[in-house]
Amino acid sequence: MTDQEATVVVEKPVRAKGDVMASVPRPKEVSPEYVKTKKYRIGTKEGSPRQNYTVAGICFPLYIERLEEQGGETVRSREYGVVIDITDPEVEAIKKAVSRRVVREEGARRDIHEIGSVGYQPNPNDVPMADFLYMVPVEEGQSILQGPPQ
Amino acid sequence: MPNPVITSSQLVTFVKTAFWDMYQISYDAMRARLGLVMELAIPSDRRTENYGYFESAPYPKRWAQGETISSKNFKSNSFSVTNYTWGRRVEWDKSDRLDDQTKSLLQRSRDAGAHWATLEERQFFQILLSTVDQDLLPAIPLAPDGAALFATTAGGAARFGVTGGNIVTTSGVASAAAIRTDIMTAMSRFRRFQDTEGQPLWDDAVMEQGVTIMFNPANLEVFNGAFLQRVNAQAITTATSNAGVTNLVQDSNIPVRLWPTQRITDNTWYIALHGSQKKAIFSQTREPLQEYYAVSENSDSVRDTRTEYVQWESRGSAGVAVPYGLIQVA
Repeated sequence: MTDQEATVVVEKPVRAKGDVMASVPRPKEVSPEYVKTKKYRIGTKEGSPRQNYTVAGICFPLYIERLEEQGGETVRSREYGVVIDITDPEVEAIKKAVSRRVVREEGARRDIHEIGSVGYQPNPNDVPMADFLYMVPVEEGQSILQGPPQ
Repeated sequence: MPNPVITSSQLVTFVKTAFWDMYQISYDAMRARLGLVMELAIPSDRRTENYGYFESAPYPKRWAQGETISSKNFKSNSFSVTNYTWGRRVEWDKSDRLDDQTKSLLQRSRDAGAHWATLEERQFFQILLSTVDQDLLPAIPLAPDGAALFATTAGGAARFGVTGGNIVTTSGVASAAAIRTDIMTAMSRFRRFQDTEGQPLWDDAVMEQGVTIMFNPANLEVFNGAFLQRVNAQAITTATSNAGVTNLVQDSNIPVRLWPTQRITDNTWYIALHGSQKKAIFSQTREPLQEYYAVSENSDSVRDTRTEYVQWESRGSAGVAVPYGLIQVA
């Protein structure tokens, strides 16, 4: 006896009129229209005091590496920024979080401070974090391998 | 270029010596803490060290009768870490050393060597915070998977097989309840990490070994409230939820070690698994610390200039392994 013969199908279930499952409402959350994401190329500009930033749960890297295996070797090719799919509410959350943050260079320190948080004191060296980041919509057909925006 | 120690005139006339060791500080506690979150001093024997690893091996698959057994390969990955030289010299005028009434100039100068103990910690935080600092590593290394140390995706897919990767979106640090929510989210995230075959990555035994939490000391009160206070408010939103309840983290028996550090200045915080198979950040040592001391007896330049010195040098570096034991809350 083969594995397949072990299961005997008596009657194949079919979609029939009156099937209760057919009347169960489909949640809107599973429809493709419910969460519309857009492609953005995001990252950190060159010359920033930090190489990568994380804001609202999203990393803005200066660059990432694409890995390929060629002849047993791991070959790494560098890409500036990263392309991500995010929703409009996530974009708004990022904008809100970035607007509260500043980067401060003093001596050997390159610190991030959050305006309004415990211990924050305004400083003439504070530069808005938004000056160091970019977030560009990727349109259909647009190259995503170009260099980082200046 | 000579840059001697500036010795105040009082130090070579008369001073009480009670405070000579004002800046004599210990790094013992820092080293012990660092060892929980960083792989320290991996031996290196070349200029650039190459590391490699295999991804997860395949798991068993049902073998139907009469069919050929299925086979599946798995990938390997390699990455490299270049060693750098680290050095510092402290110089002083021979007369200043001889006349120094505290008799501490030499001892004080030798503290520069003791500060080598901070080198790995500074490299650790440079990588953790992604800080550009030409006095330390010239660039922040990426993880071997090609993404940054913290990333939601790697190689075009969710990192470690879970949405969000090793970044947890913060609930803020305004309340202990918000922090407890995030630590539970992070612990849940660790438990949902997958190996490269889509199977659970961490065994319970790893999770039970506890975590180190690194955060901005400006938030000390709220973090102590979240993890050390036995009874506190569940939330701050409604009157009923202000009822005092026992601490969920303590009740969960997760061993938590708090590390407030001034190197973190914003409300981002970090959670490192003590039992992680490999730590996310590691240091490698090519040449250990060496000390050289130049005086008239052994140095032409000192005989020419009366400028004595002590100098230290070492070679090594720091790198990033697969960061499955580290989560950023930001």
